[in-house]
Amino acid sequence: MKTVNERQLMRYLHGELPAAEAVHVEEALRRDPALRQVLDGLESSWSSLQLPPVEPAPLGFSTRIAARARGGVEPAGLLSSLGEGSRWVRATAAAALLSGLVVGASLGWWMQPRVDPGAATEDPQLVVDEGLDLFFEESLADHYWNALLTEGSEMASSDGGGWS
Amino acid sequence: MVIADAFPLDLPVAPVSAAVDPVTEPAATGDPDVDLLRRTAAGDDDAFAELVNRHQERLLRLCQRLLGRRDEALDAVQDVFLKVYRKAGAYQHRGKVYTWMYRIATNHCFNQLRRRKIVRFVGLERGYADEDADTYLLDPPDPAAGPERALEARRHWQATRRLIDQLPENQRAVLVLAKFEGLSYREIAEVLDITVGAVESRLFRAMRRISRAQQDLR
Repeated sequence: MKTVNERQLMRYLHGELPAAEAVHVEEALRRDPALRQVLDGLESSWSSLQLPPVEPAPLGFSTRIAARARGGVEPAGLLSSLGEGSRWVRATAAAALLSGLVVGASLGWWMQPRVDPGAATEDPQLVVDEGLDLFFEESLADHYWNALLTEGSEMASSDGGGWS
Repeated sequence: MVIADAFPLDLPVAPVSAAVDPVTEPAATGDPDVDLLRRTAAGDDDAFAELVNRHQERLLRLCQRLLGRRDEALDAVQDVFLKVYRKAGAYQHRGKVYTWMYRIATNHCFNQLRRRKIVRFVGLERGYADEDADTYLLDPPDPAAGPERALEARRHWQATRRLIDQLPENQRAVLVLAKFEGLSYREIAEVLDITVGAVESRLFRAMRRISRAQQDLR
């Protein structure tokens, strides 16, 4: 005697067994209360799956579809994918735009001059900047020549003018 | 045991014949949609409108069952029909036209679900609360039954939605097509382009998973 397995019971429940096999399952169910219990469990799980009824399509829905098809509104290629994922694309574009604005504003704020004109002489940074400006305005040769003269005169004064 | 309720829709079983090209041989299949599709491909907009009218409710139901959201389902149905319109001339499906449209709809919905996962992952959109998905739309059919019954029905729908959403895609498609669309194993095999044995196997695994989840809830 062939045994009946759970998969066969599911097919029986769904009306998918050939007639001869269904008869065989029914006989087995009559003989075996445990098998009947398995079938009841399957049936209970199956019938407990419920979702709310779906409302009909709104009025004019089919007309809208036909008009879209007729008008060739559906764009092709990249535009098509943009249309299909419009929510995603819009959100990404908005995020990119926002990031760009934030980065731009931050850069602008960071690069603006932070020196108060009224306190220019008190700012040591400004002094350094002025020194650098002076340095680049001079030619390199002049700079070294002046430095040498300054150092020479300092040495002369400290040694009592012994080298000249 | 009454098993007729398992499949509420009396849908015809699609004939499978490799020798028949349905677009050129509509009479051979006995499917009136084949003629509509052929006329659509030839530029007959009335035929397309009739095709939409005949199948929009069925596709809307499927898309809403798979996606769980009314607004997305309406968009999906429009997109599916536009694909049908564009592909009408290249139709090669062996079997009923509606199973071909079901296939397009199923693929479209799963693409949509994958896209939704990405959007949710990168945090561009508020996460979908499962309890909101498709259950907020309707109250139970009998409002006279009282708020407690309404709440109970709503909880039941939410539980079902969660169970369905937890299934892998391939099992979910089979379950929705069998349970909520009332398709036979053979029709499901045709829609998903798999064997009847694969349908049975996926449905069995889905039911196993659901039974276990239901036992855990008790």
